[in-house]
Amino acid sequence: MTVGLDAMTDTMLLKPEPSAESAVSDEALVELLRAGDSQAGQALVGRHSEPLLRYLQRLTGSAQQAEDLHQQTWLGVLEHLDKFRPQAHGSAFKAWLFRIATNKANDQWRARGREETARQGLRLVTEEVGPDASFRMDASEQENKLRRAIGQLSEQQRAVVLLRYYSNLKFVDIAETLGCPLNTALGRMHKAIQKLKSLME
Amino acid sequence: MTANFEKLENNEAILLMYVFDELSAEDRADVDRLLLTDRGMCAQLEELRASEQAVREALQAADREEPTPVPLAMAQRQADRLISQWSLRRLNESAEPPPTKRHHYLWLYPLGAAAAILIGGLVFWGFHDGGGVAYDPSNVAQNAAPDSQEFFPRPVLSDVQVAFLRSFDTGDELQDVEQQLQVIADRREDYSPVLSFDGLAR
Repeated sequence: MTVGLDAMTDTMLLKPEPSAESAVSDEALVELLRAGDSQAGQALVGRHSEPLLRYLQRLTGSAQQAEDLHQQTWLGVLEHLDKFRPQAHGSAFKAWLFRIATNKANDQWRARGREETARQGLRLVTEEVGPDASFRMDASEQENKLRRAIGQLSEQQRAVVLLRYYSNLKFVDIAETLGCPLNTALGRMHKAIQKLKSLME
Repeated sequence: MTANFEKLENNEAILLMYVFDELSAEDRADVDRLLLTDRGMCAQLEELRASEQAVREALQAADREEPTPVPLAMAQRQADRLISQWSLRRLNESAEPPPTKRHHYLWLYPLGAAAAILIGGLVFWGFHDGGGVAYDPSNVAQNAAPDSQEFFPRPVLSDVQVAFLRSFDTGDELQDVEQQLQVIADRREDYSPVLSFDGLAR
């Protein structure tokens, strides 16, 4: 009945970090970066770029936006580096990094929401609806189905699911990152999983 | 039971934490015991596990097929460039001398005002109390030619000044001051005969 930790890590989306890289903690690298060691920053980028890019790609559904947000996130990290306070648990930097990314995505959504309203007004006049720019013609049916299913989740549900799968943060950290109670985060996750499964069937 | 477990409000939350292996060993053992007796909860767990697996596999498959939005190496180069620029700017900022801090000695303002009032008071006091004998032309016409000393008046000490000096209990010093003032008055007389009122009266 129980699911062992080894079995879970085998099936996790992200492979566990290599031990050589993990030897220096993220927080120690942040300290080095603060002291002016740009190589420490590059090590942090190397460690977190892929999951961050994937997370942003799924969150926004757009390659262009994901790329922009990826850069904006690292810029945000550098701007607020002096404010970063490592916490007792190990995933402090990762949680902080994904929180910045989520906030940047939210900012962009808000801005895009205003643009969308204006565009819909224009659409009523022109009646021309173009294909979604992020839609890949060569993508498999399953992939497109997944993208559509993710697109049908609410922003909050999407953020919880994607944070859990791509950042590998614990639900406690995800709740903190999103600024909501643990039960709310778990409720969103539960609904999102059920919805995704039914949409992809 | 740990604090986090007690916070969980329903079976869905508990089972999610169970499936994602985020419960402590103690809480996990409690859930295992519950699952042995509660068939409904057991079915719920199986359903949740199947859904979670389906979603995870779909994401994994999509990630395998779909490349990252921008080649990973390029994304890292972009971020590395940002970091290098930031480090350089930070280094330059730390190399610049810190701006000199301007001190505002606020306490100087009331002190200056007090000093100005004191000086003003002393000047006023000097003119009104220690001004000596004022020149009165009517005296010149009516009386005999006055002694020149009266028109080049000897500086005298006013009552207030005397009282001030006496307050220090320096009787000898007071005498010395009066003698010195006398000497100064005599010298004036010697060196300014043209201005002597004797000459004018004639």
